[in-house]
Amino acid sequence: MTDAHRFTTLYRQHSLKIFRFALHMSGSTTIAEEVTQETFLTLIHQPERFDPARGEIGAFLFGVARNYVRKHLERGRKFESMEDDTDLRFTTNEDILGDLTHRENLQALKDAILLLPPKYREAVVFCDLHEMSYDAAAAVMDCAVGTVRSRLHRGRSLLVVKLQSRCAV
Amino acid sequence: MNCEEYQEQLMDLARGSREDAVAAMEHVRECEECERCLLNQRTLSTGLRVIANCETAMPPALLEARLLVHCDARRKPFALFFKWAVPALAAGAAAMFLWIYFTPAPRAIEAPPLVARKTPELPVVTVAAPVASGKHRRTHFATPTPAPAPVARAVETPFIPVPYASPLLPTEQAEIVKVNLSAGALASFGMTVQGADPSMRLNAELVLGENGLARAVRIVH
Repeated sequence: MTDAHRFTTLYRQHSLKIFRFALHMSGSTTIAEEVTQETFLTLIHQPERFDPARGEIGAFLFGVARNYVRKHLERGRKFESMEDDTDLRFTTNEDILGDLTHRENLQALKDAILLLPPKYREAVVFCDLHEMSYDAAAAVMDCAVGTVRSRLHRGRSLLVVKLQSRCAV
Repeated sequence: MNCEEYQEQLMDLARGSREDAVAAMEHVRECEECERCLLNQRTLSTGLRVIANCETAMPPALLEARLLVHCDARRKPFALFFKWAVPALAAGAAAMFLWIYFTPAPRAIEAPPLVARKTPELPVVTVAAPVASGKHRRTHFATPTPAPAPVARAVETPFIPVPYASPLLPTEQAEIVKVNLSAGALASFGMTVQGADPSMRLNAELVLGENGLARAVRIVH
């Protein structure tokens, strides 16, 4: 792609989603900025990688961004993830999530998302924070719809457990 | 169905991606754990929705300008040049050789006599001259090419590293891209031109690392 006008249109249409996806996955605006830049540089320098027959440009950009995010996460290892075999049984009868509209609790929820293992974090970010359908998320994550649903369920259950343990302390 | 299967349905219900879950709701009335699960999933959905809607972070405005530089830049991939230049030159030389030796000479026309002259200042080239006998003979002679006009040399400032970029590694390949940018855009690379109007266009060269990110910049007057 060399047409600056077409590029500008595409950038303005998709850059915010890509940036926020990277931000929610990494928790870092620096990484989010780098991922956004690298994603669109890929489109500029390797436009042949996008095949319209395989899906829309938005899904392609999310796929590229997802790979860059994973590289950054592997390089940084900033967060210590929750164990995948965490016991999901509830340990208390309280409504331990409390009022999640409270700022402090929202920050706790954001922190808990960053502690999820990447495959579950992706499902939560795509389906809940970006409000993608299971089909769209499956196309981006390159897996079956059922896999997306089970990863989302697992991810959300881990979030509940994390918030429960926070309230129990 | 067991509780875990019901809970997946309850998650969909809480997210709003499923509207009818009659069996699951009947199960919820009987199962305390699933009832608590539905409550927690609903609260979680509310919290996630608030996070999504209250997000204000945006990509920096300069990012678009930086990417447009890449979009417009006339790229000079030196590695590609060296990869293809030698075979291209060899192919050109071979084609020239074949053309010289296999072009039939005009037999009916008398070839003009060639005078071999040596002029030390002029370059010596090799050409084939057609002769009356039909055979080819190579003759060295000087071509009266005009002396090259003096070329105005560009004034270049030294490369200045881009402040936010990591330094170029010794083993990393780089490429230099010629660009024509406004003084304002150059300022985004850390290159300020004193007294220049921000909209003034300037010729510059960018050093791009292997990942395509700008590492250094200089102005070419």
